[in-house]
Amino acid sequence: MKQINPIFSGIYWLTTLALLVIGVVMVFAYTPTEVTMGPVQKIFYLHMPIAICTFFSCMVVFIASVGYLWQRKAMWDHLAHAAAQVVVIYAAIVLLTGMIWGRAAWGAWWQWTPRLTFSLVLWLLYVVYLVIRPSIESSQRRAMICAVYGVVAFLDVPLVYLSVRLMPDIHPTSIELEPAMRNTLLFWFIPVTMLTVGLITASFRLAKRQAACNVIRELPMPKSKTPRPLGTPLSSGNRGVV
Amino acid sequence: MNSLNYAIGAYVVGLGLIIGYAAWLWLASIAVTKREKRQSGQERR
Amino acid sequence: MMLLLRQIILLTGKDLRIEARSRQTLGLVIVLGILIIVVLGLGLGPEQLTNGASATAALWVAYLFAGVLVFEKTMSVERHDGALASLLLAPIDRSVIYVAKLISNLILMLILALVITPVAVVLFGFDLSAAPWQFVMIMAMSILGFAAVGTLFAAVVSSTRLQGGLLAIVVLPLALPLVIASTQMMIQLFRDGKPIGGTGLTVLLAADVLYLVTSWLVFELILEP
Repeated sequence: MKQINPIFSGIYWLTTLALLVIGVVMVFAYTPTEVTMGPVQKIFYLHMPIAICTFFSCMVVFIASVGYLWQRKAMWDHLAHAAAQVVVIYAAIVLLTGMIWGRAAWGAWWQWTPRLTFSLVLWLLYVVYLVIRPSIESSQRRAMICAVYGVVAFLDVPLVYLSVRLMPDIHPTSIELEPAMRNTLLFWFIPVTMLTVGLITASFRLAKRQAACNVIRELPMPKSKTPRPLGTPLSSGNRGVV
Repeated sequence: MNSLNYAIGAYVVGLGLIIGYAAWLWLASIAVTKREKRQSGQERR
Repeated sequence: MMLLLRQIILLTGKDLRIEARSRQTLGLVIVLGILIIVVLGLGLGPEQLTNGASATAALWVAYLFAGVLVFEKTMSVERHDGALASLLLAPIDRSVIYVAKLISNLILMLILALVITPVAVVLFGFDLSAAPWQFVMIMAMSILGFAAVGTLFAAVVSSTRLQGGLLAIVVLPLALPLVIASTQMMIQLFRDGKPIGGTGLTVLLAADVLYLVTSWLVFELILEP
């Protein structure tokens, strides 16, 4: 497998980290506090880009699942798995930051509102993807089941979105963005997107390497290092002479 | 708890999860490198 | 077209006849459904059951878990005596197999529903007189969507050795939009007394169409002996 130039990789991650740090500083030092909601609104600058990238990662799972169903190559399964891990992490972040925001705004950690319910169901959809994998021993069967699930789960997302809109929405949150806030939000998309691409790629490459290692079964140590001289019978019952 | 603390807490949780995941990937990658070295050592023999 | 219809009737008839002869699934599943409803009724108690519409939730839990068993059973009949291999060798389009399995599942689910829905309605004191036909329609559309994905995944999962709970865990989250939409509509109809808006029905309809079409298309790809 082609190695990524470690210098490139190092620069990439350092840049991402630096941008994240700058982003945090921007949020807490530069961006003005929103009037109606107070400082807790600052969660938005992290929450929103992560939410968008969650959806992007869901799409990657879908495309990779379709790819597997179409070509049956293991690499599609690795890609789907990698992207699904990112979806679960990101959806957890969306869910938790949403809950923290809700706690600050309404006093309760949980309300059955459309937004929170949607985040919860989305997270569950892809948690199931990860959880079923160890239950299936055959790697082809596993890839197949997960691919079908990956396809249907993604198509399910708009359905979940539509169905939660039937729920009563007690606390609609639409925010007016001043220019400084818009800048911060747009800025945050850069490190978050870099993180998304970087994490999916890293996880994908890891999965490929792990699969390659699993193919090579560990060889047992030979009993003696000196070769057996030609003509020595292998065992008493053996007819062939090597 | 004042509202700003909630915001800070959210960033800690969010970025913490990401860093945690990245760290897990990195550790797993080190483990795989060890396995690869061991296996290529075996093959040469 | 007539040939397709005949094939579907043939396959469905086979499945139902197997079920009628062995009488394994239906009794078990009906009793399980009743037990689930009773447990929920006991657990919630009179103070929390202020509104009969919570019967919908109990029904959903019963349908989901009993339904998964139904789907597992109709697919597992193919595992005996190489039945699936013979089925695949026969000159039948794979999608016909899907439709036939789906109809078998729907018929069994229908029988299940006919028994346990009155049980839930009575035990939870659910007054359906406000909108009985809407209730039936909502439940019917929901069960259709659920059976559509359930049939697909039962086939995908069926030859896996470690089955316990695998079908349930993949199908339940996918069925959540149906659960959300139908329970919200029930609340609107029976607790708030409002007529169902177009959105709810659209969601159920969209879900049904999506699940049916996707399952039908994907089924071709996944069936292996």
